[in-house]
Amino acid sequence: MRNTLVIAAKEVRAYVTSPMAYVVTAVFLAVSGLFFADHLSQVQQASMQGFFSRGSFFLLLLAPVLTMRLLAEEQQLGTIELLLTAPVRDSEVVLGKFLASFAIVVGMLLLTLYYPLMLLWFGDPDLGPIGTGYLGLLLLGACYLAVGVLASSLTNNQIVAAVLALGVLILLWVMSGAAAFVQAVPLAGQVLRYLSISTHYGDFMNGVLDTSHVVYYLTFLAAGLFLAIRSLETRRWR
Amino acid sequence: MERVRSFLGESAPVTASLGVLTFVGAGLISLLIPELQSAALALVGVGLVLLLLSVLGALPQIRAVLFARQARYGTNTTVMIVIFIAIVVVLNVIGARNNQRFDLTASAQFTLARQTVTVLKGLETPVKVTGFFQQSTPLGRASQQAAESLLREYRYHSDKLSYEFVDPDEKPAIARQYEIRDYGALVFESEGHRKQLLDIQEQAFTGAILNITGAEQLKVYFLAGHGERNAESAEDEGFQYAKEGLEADNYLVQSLDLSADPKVPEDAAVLIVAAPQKPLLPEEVNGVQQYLERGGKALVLLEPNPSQELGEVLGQWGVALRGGTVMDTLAFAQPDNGTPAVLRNQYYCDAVLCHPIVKDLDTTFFPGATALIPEVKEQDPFLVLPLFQTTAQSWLETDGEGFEDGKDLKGPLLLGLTVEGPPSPAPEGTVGDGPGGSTGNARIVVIGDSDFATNKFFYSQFNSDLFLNSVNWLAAQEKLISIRPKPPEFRRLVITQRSWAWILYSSMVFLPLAMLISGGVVWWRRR
Repeated sequence: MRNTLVIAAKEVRAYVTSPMAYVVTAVFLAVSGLFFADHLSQVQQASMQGFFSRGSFFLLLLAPVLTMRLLAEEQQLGTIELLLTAPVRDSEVVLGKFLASFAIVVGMLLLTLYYPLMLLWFGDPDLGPIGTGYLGLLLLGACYLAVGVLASSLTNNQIVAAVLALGVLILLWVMSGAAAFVQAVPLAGQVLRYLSISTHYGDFMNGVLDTSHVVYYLTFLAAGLFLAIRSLETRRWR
Repeated sequence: MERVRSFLGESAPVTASLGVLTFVGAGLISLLIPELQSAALALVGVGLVLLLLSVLGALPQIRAVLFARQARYGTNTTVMIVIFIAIVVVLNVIGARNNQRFDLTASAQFTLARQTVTVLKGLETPVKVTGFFQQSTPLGRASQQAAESLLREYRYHSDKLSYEFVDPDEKPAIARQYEIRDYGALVFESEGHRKQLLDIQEQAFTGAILNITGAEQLKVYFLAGHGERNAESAEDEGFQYAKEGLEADNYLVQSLDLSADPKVPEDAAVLIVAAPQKPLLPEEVNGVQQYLERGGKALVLLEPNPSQELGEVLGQWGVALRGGTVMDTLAFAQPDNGTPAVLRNQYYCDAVLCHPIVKDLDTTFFPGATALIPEVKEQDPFLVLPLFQTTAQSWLETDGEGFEDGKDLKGPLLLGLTVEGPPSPAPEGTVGDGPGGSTGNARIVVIGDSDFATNKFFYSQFNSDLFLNSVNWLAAQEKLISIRPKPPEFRRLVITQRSWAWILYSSMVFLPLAMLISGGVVWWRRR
């Protein structure tokens, strides 16, 4: 456990001392701000829907950028061998790096709390859906990062890691749309819809907390990190 | 073959990247241009093909990774992965089946009324809901989302309920099969019974479910034996289309002869009195009056110079009648002033509410109508509400000599109204809410004409809707009346132009700028 935190802390320091995290955050804030304000102007209501609905997808696009470096760089620089032979478990490496990227995403989301603060200042927003919206974003973000960490563990090329993560995430996001095309096969549509990460976010945006969605996201997260750990493991004998 | 393999192998990184980029493109299109969903999905297909090619090309490397030198470790890992995935699947299945939902909205928008939950938990037959929403307009998409939110709540309480959405533009054949005439229609079906709705409301949904799940097929009786409109007749003056319209709404239509047995059957959800020409016997009048007094629902269609008994019954319920035919010189069906027309602005609606019967109606017209005169005395326990009227340039013509002041009643004249009676006590021995509302308020819809619903005019303008809406409103289940429609959550944000600019600029510019500056500082310090 201690090792995990040490690795996480080291990684966070790396994030904070390089411009990359700041640029990603700035871009995220700028675009999210646009989504937030644009929706407000359209509906004239104290609602965060603009940010939640479109910002969630935008976060998907940025997450691979945050994670691409985590394991791929070490593999590229050759420091991965050092890490893997140290008295540190593979799981601690993966978890530590994941936690660091998650900390950055949490920071990004904390900064967006500016939006509900403004809504509270100027109007009377319904806080329930805002709370569940953020919870959903946290879960969603964690899943994005898990996929990113997994992709980063599979290659020594950061670009490949980013693009791979991006592709998988987008596939998972739009999968529910294909449900209409597989009418012929019974259950196929429902399965596709269930597997898609975007399906489970809808209720959070509306203000409904459904435990099945939480189960989905947590198992998704666990699966992503588990596969990443296994992938690191294969390096030992690759 | 070798050349193909080596070509695939060498191009693997390229095809892989292209495949992934295609996915990215598909995702962006799907998000930014929702109308091109099919194109986005086609791109996903292309991406899959490309990825498949790259996998084929990189097969040797993949095989090396998966089935490494230490085959033992390889199988070990694979087995672990398979077991883990299996656990994940099981957890999700359990989680999905045993989920708990918590509605955290302030107005409990996503919590269903107790009655709805009872109905859903008691569902024995599968119910399928098909929504027909346009995907190419923002309104269509938003409506579909609203319908889906509500249906999701319904589904939570009963897994016998399933739903799906069909875009009528993309699949017109299916829309035709369900006889969809408007965008935004929802069809509830169960075991062959169908009901179509345009309302995305809990009350309407639960009503439809009750309606189609067999036991609640409501009976509508047409009073017969006095030369009333004949529901079996396909002649111009017949009511066959009206009957078919009722059956399409899942009602069972029968005729009722009160001279044989003057009691209106207990299972009568609605009694329709369609312009009797001959006088009613006293026992028949009594039968109708008793039916109303025990909470019955009636649709009364009149003609000019209605019979005395009918006048007396209606008089007991606050509606007076007078001889004469309504003439309107401003709104009428050309070329006959004696066919007053009712345009949108002649329906009784205030700034906020419209009676459900007339809420969505446009022009209707009434060939040969009589006027309705509300006469409610102070101690009368019922409520008479107007539905629609003629214009001010109308009068009740008594002798065919044009408007004569003092003799002919001047407009605007009421052509349609509703009467709602007080709740009546349940008769001893009954459980209380059988079909037909044997307890609960009496409801009467009175319309001053019956020709509008004859075969000749039924499908003209909105005449059919007026007729069917009236019956539907009358037959509304008592159980459902108490489901109050939830007002949409409206958290108005009133901001000045300056505040708006502040919100926009601080969110889009200041915050990100602060981030960039911090990044710049960090970068500078590292140099």
